[in-house]
Amino acid sequence: MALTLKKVLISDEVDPKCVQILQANGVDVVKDTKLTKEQLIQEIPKYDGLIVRSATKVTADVIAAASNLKIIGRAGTGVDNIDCDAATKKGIIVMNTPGGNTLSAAELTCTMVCVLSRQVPQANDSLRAGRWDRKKFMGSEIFGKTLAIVGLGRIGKEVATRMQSFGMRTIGFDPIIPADVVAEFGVEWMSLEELWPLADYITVHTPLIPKTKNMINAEVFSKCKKGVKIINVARGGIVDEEALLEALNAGICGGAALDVFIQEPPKDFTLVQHPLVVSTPHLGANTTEAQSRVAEEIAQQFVDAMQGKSLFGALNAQALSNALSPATQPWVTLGEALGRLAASLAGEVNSNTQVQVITYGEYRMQCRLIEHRIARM
Amino acid sequence: MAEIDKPRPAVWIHARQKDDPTQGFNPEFCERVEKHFDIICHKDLVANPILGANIVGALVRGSRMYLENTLDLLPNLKIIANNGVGVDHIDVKKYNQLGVKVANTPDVLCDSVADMAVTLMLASARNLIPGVKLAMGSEPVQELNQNWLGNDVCFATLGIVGMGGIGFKIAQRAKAFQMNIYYHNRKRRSTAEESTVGASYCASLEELLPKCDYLIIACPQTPETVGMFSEARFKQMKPSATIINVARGKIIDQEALYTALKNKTIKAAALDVTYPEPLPRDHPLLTLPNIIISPHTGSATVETRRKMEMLMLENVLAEVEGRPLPSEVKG
Repeated sequence: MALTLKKVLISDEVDPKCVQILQANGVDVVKDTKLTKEQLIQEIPKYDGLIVRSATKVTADVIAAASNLKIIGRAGTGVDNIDCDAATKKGIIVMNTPGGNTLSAAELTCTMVCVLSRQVPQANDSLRAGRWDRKKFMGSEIFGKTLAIVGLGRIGKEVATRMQSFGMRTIGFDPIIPADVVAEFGVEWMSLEELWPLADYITVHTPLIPKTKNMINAEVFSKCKKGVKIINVARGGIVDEEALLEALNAGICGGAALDVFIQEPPKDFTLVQHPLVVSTPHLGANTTEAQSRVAEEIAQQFVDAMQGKSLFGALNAQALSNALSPATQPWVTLGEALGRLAASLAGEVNSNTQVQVITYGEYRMQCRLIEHRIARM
Repeated sequence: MAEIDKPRPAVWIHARQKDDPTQGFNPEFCERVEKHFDIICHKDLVANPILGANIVGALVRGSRMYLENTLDLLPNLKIIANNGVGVDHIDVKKYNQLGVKVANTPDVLCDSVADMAVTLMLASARNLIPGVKLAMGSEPVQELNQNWLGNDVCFATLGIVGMGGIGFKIAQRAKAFQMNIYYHNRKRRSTAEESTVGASYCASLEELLPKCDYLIIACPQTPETVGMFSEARFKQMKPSATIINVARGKIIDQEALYTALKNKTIKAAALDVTYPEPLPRDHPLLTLPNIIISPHTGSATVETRRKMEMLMLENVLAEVEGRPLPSEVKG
């Protein structure tokens, strides 16, 4: 038995390839990018698969309503828009495309470094407004400047190697990747405290998790060089937006490039309107190549899961997913049958109904599957 | 898959020593691991579930409740390497069914644990703990008591329950102490091995127990050995016998042990292992004068721990490189 997927909902804009690949493999696909949260909650029970990008928020209540959902696919890397904990508790696989967006995000980051160094968008606006203002836009060379990269995973590394070719000194921090490994791609590993005073540019390439929320805050700005430039192509919230505004107004921060915001689209446009800020509407992965790639990847990953070949990209699945192997099918069927029996004996079954499953015996993994299946019935 | 770059494979650990001074892995070992793998600490994994995708191995030690909840859901987990030889806290069968191998650290710790078993036996026999209190305690002592006597270990009879790697090394040491050695094992050892250490086989515990002045438990904890030392077993032992346990706490029924010690059914006990570990301070066993308990330090030496850590890492490397594991445990 592999992961049977009959009907998949795609609730964010994805390349048509995704739909094509799934349909070619016998999956019913519905694409609806206009669903409100309430509508999503209402519709989701009809689907056993869901594919999102970053706009759809798959919160705990969506997951609670998703009575048939087996898998959530993220066409992209970050899963902060998905309540992974709730998904895991319910036995729903969360799957992302770990590499697909890397180059596009890295290239946009490098673009932002270049654009900040010469204030290109501001100069452009000025000229469009009919002004020939050269003195105002005195820039600075990137050559010889120091780029501090927080987060040295796939994207951070690609940013480092590209900006090294501009003659930048690349320093960085990563909580997991050790110094000698990052040295292999030309980055000097430092603690965060050591990074701030050295940086001419700071770019963040971390997920949004409690530890990284408001990582770039007022305290950090107080330790930075005057005029430091900040780039965030990662996630809104890693940079404290209020602190950034204050730092810009106080001259501590000499420019910021933001692709992401705490609220998208932002409710408050003060930062976006600031003369020293360059912004883009979450375009980090918005290239035809990246979108095509992640759409194809997530669809293919779903198909591989359906065929029991692999669960590449899964974040919370059992190893080797022998859960997909033929040997476990009878246990799954047993679980479903027991679940149906229990449900009919229980009378009215609603969200308050509790199921206690006690299993004995040596086949504990199979028991887990039974438990899971009974609970889902 | 169009992947720009494969991140390095990673291993899961509970914590580094700097974050958890009593449970974390020491920095020298972490550095050695990091030559091959990224290290992901449990708290980092919890904060960022994406990290789970790169984890191929887990370095575990001791019994940890989150083991099952966490390790079960690592999609690319290939091996769980345990720091220690006993894996009763790991459901090996389940993990094997999930395609995950389990490895332990046998052999490298046998000498150290055997040393500990003998240490406990000697300390008990010679009343070391009360003796130290007398000689060094704050209560003033006018004269040393000439009539306060221990017992010789030499020429006494030792029984070993479980003559595996550790049991054999215990026998080697006991031979040097000129003890008479009997043993019980699931499988009888070869005559050559028996004569090397001068040990005689007893086919059953009934045969073994009544002979012993000292009894050392060195067998694994399995469904068969849990509660092996029950009230009935203690009654089969000599009233002058001392029981020593360097295996697992649950092999002895602790309530029965308490009663046996209290009623002097046996003379004394010396345990490196209990359940739970450590015992709560109000546990009845702690009220008895004729018991020594050490905090599961059987293999806790700088030298042996280093060997165990290297073996853990070797097992993970072997699995990742497609070589046979040096010390796989099959479920």
